Amino acid sequence: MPPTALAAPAARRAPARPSAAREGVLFGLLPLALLAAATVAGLALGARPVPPAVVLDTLGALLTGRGVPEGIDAAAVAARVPRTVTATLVGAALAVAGAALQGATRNPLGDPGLLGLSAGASLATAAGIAVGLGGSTAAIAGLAALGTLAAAVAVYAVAAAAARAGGAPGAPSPVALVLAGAAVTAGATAATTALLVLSPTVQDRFRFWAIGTVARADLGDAVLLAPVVGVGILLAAAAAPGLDALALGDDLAHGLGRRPGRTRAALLAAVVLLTGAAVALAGPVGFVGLLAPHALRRLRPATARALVLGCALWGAVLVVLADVLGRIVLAPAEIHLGVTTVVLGVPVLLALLRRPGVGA
Amino acid sequence: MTTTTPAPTPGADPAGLRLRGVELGYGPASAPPVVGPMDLDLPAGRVTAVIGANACGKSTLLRGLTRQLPLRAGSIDVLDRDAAALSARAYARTVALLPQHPVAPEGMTVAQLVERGRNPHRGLLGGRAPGDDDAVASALERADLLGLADRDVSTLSGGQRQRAWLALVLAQATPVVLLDEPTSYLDLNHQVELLDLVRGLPDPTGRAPRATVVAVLHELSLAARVADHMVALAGGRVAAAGTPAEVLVPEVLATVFGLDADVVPDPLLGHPVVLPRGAGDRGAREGAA
Repeated sequence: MPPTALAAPAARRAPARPSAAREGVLFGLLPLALLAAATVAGLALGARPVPPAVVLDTLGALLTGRGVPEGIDAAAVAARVPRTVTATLVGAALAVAGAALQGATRNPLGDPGLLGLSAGASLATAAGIAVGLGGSTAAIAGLAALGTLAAAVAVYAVAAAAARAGGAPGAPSPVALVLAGAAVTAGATAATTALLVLSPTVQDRFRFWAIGTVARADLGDAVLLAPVVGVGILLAAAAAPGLDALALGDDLAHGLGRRPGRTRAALLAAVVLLTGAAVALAGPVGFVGLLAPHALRRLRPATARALVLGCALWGAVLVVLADVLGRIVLAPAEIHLGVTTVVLGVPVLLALLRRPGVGA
Repeated sequence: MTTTTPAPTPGADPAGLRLRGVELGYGPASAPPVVGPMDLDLPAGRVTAVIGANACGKSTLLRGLTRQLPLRAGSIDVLDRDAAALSARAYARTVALLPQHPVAPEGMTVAQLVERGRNPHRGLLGGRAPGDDDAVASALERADLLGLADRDVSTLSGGQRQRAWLALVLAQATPVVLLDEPTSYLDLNHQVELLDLVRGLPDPTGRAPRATVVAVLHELSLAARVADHMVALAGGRVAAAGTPAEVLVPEVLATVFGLDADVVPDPLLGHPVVLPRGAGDRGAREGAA
């Protein structure tokens, strides 16, 4: 029995809501400030470092429509704008997609890369280009979204069939889903490589190969797909109260007046939009969807809405910084974004696999 | 004693839950129903214990009462309102469920878990409602969890964790509470403690002094201790309904559980206590005599 001496009126109010202000800082203001700092770093650092004052000057000129000032430094900053904007969008999209996937499947290993969704999106994109469908960024994003959806259905069907064959029907285990995701990733990557070898058109137009990058990002693409990312994040945030209930099991979610089926459908739609947009912009970038939500859960957000919005901001910070890191470690050579995030993400995956209930 | 369609006991309390011609089942409509057709009245402001052998339809009945499983036929009135006329969230503000196997998410404090019970009281986007803090605080206090409010749920003992789930249901602040085997896996002292807590649940709407509680329970003597009203199910039908003293009689126990048993009154509290007899027990006793 706990001591009942704590039942004083002052202590009574305290435990229910200690964190409203703390939550606003940790999941809002702090990552926003860091994102601003990371953006300046992203524009300043690279093969030719530029002083922050020039960065701010150039940024001011660009934002007020005065065009790029003269000089090599200003030109370098202007050239880094598309990749920084793209990295922001990709990071926000993938982190929120990861949080949505983990919540919808109650599976700590939910990540668009790990579950084969990014590879499926890449294959659909390459295949679409091969048959002449990849004429515009919108078409590529649509193909990527379709590939995400197809991969999600395939992975879930394979994992559920494995669970049935193993005598445990019901929701597939985290490991079954990840194994099915690995199989889909291997198959889709092989098929993508074959298309690259066989089709000169694909070779020419498919920018991402097997590893994601923002090195050749285009600002027009980013502007076109930003609303898609925005809608995906809003959809996930709108489904967040259902996600809070879903985390307690389907039975209790029903008891709380939520419809688990509808919540999952909304979350899957968000995942398809976000992953499709992210792959269309940067190709397969792994582990962001794993890293950001798990790190933020350690800060104990009171609601899934705080987690989703926090993921959007922290994911953007993470990917912008990962891109900067890839540019300065071996400058003037570059490490692709997809490699940097894997290097950052693998230790997290290993730590997760050691937790009880995941490997079982 | 074994009536399939019991009329409400004369002079009984008004019905909290009124089932008429209810049929529940899984799969195609041509498959035989798991529960029903069933007429059943569960008194308002009282604790009803639902007992029965495994696979008799207890959990299916509870799923029907939460509307998780749609009715194949019939109707359910909750506190004199047709359940079908209420939205999912309005229904969740009237009827709360503590399922048998709720999932405890990782990295969550007791206070955060209990606050999830406020979910149906919030707006569509999940903004906090004015009564949230008070409801959570009073739920924590009633379940004696104030000292554990900031503890991680995964560090709680079995008894504490079950009290935390009950506090979540309390924070939902509904006049009707459904409990699916709330005492499984608990030590006997924690079972008694939890069931006493269940018996004292207030009706948050103030309509009645106590909430309408329906609990599926396995341990018959404990069920008799906590319950005002008892329903015995067999094969998806009502085998007996009434006070624990009316339901827990050797004939009903033989029909429902296939159990040979004697029933004696508790010497202190007076509720019936079931004494099971195995195949050899009576013979051994007669042989000795």
